[in-house]
Amino acid sequence: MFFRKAITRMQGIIIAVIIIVAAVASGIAYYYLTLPKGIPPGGTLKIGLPMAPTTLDSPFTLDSATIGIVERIVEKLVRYNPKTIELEPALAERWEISPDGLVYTFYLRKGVKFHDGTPFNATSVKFNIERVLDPATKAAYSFYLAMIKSVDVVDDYTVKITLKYPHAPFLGRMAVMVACINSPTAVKEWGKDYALHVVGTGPYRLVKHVPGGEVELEANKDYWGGRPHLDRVIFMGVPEAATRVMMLEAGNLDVVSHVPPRDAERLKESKDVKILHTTGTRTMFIGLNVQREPFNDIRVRQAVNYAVDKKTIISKILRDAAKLAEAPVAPNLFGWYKVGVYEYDPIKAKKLLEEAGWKMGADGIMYKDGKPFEVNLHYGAGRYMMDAEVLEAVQSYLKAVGMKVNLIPMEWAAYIDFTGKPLKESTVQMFLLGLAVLPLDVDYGLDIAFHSTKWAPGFNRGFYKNERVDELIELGAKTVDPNERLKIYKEAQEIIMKEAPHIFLYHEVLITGTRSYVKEVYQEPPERMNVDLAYIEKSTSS
Amino acid sequence: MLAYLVRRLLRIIPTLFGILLIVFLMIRLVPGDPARIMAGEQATAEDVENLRRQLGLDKPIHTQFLIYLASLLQGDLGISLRTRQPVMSEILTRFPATLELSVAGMFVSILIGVPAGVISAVRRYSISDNIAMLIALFGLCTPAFWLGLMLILLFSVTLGWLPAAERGGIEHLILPAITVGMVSTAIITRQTRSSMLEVITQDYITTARAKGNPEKVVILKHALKNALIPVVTIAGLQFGTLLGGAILTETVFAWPGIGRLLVDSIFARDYPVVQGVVLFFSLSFVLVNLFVDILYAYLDPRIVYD
Repeated sequence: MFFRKAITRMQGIIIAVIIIVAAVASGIAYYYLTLPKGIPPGGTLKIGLPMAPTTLDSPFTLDSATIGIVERIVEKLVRYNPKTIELEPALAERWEISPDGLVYTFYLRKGVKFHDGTPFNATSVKFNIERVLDPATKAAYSFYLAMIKSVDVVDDYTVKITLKYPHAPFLGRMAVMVACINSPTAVKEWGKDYALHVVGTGPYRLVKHVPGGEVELEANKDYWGGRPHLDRVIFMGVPEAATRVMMLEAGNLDVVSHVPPRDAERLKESKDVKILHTTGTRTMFIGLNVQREPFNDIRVRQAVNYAVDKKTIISKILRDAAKLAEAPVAPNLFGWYKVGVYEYDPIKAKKLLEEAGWKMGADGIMYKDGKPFEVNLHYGAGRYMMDAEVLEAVQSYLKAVGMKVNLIPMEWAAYIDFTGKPLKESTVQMFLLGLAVLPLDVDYGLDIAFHSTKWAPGFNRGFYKNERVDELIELGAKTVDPNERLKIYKEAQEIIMKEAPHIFLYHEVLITGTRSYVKEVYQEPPERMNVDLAYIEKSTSS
Repeated sequence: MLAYLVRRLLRIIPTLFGILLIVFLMIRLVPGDPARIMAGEQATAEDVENLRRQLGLDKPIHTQFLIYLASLLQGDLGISLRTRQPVMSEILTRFPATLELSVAGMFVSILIGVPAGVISAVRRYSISDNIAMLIALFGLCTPAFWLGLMLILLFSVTLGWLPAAERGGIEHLILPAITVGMVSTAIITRQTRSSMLEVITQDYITTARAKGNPEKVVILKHALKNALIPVVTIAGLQFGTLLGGAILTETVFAWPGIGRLLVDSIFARDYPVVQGVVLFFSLSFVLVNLFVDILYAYLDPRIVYD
């Protein structure tokens, strides 16, 4: 009665319109301010990946290609923005960190539903994290969340995660795929078959997954961030790169990942195809066994760095599909510091070797105490883009300064075994590896590659040890102030570059090919295909 | 015949057991740790050890074998370490694709190989014979990998007549079938030619001609029927091989078959899948062999099994 007298009918309509417009605008503003106006939603995108999707159940997904699909269906509390690579809220609207760095309180987004209609809430967060950490689940990547002590539900939309020890980069760990939030109802209902019926809160929902074949997703029209532009996305595995590129050229695929550099160069001028480059998080390096001769001498390690012309390798062999490494880790990680490069200087390389006691023999090989400079360089053949070609170039650069390097290709699994032997048993001298970092923070990369507790069988397979670097890595993980962390990591990276436990090569650049009518597709640095903002700029869909 | 059939079927059991034992040991003796591959090279030794324990890979080999054998006897091929899906379902979802490709490949090879072999034999040393033998040589020497990519380049990218890859309708099957069928085409052409040459010099062919039969009837009805007997054997063996997955063709054409599953599983040291696929392939091959032997007896009345 009071209401009827207080406002007129016209006023009521105006208020309702304002409320509706405000609600819609706030709901879609997060995602769709950048979408051009006037393009109707719809269309299907067909994407070619280098391998067939494996499993969509996030605790078990191991390969980057499939993780990219999973992250379209299932979300995390936080995520990396595909354009800015900054950490931003996702299923959590905001969070608080206790002063001692041990307790993270996440305030969850309200009113979000899983694709099966069940509500997303604190209980579902607790369920998923505990599922990953449960030994019975056997999640291979559970170690990313190993610092979690407990997950507690405060109320429906507040969850508290307590850590075993303070870990400043912890938020980045919550953006890794093992922290994905699946529908507990669906997980319990489907049991062993859940992987084929994955249910999340993401912009796309799973339509079907043919094992060994395609994954088909459709738009989640009720997505909390506003429905994605596309109606459908189909992911398929095309293992042979040449086929993948030809399918793109023939129009059988709209998007392909991992385009070989020589095809990227050829397609640069094409009107039908667009080539996109993204610096990945993988830093390629040749590890040196610093505990044994000849690489136990810093002068020899620096000499091999001076001897290799990385810029020419990048331009001539990789056709600029790589970024010169100016630090031990990739530039898109928080804490990266541009230390610099060892410029190509074979004369300096020879001088350093001579200072280390090596003398050039008549056969063009360096000798010391009657022994020639001859080392083995092992690698897992075909694992990394143009690995054999790059190593052949490295071999010839090193030969030019008197070092004889024998290239020994191995099958990947056998190679990992071989380079993973503890120091006592290891016969490794030089080895090729890529340091890919998932949580986009240098802490993870520096820790696994350079901390002395991570010697083989861990990732530190050159057995590098520096007490100050160990100290800095540990300190960086505990320090909450980001500016302080930057200073700590600057010092750590400077020491590492100077001590040269690796031949620092380059950061891999991810090359994606799309048909010209495809817009807003992002290849995220950890090799995930993000199509959340994608649209097709013509009425014909593939 | 029935007794023979039963004996052959019973012999499958020790054959498969022997194969299983060899594969089980081989895959575990080569370097490479599945727990390490799954966890990745960045995981700590402790993480890998935990995972190995969770997966039961820390048990002695003979214990692992007995556990596997016990589940096998219940029809359970285990769970894939990579995908956590039942191995049986991993195989069965891919087998139709392999079967489709194998049947199509055999169809192409018989469609081309038999007529080419017949013409070659009947017009020996002629231009037709030379062309047929050249095609056969091409089929034997051309790497399937290269051939597949060239076919895609010509028919999909340049001419736009056919889709480049992936499984779909009949138009998707043409290029992979030609690629996978090339070697079989070559073999069947040559075998048909040599069988025909042997048969058409037989007395009963001379008799058939002497009775006034048209040459077409002599060749197709009297000669070919007998010449096909060894061809059937060869074709059967080829088919059995194809059922194991044409790995290179599957790779080039993104064909979701068993071959690719086996290769990926070997690289990942996915023990249950490798064991399961090898067992599956061995059983298929043995059954195809048996079928060919039975067919052989049916086609050649001189053959009697007892």
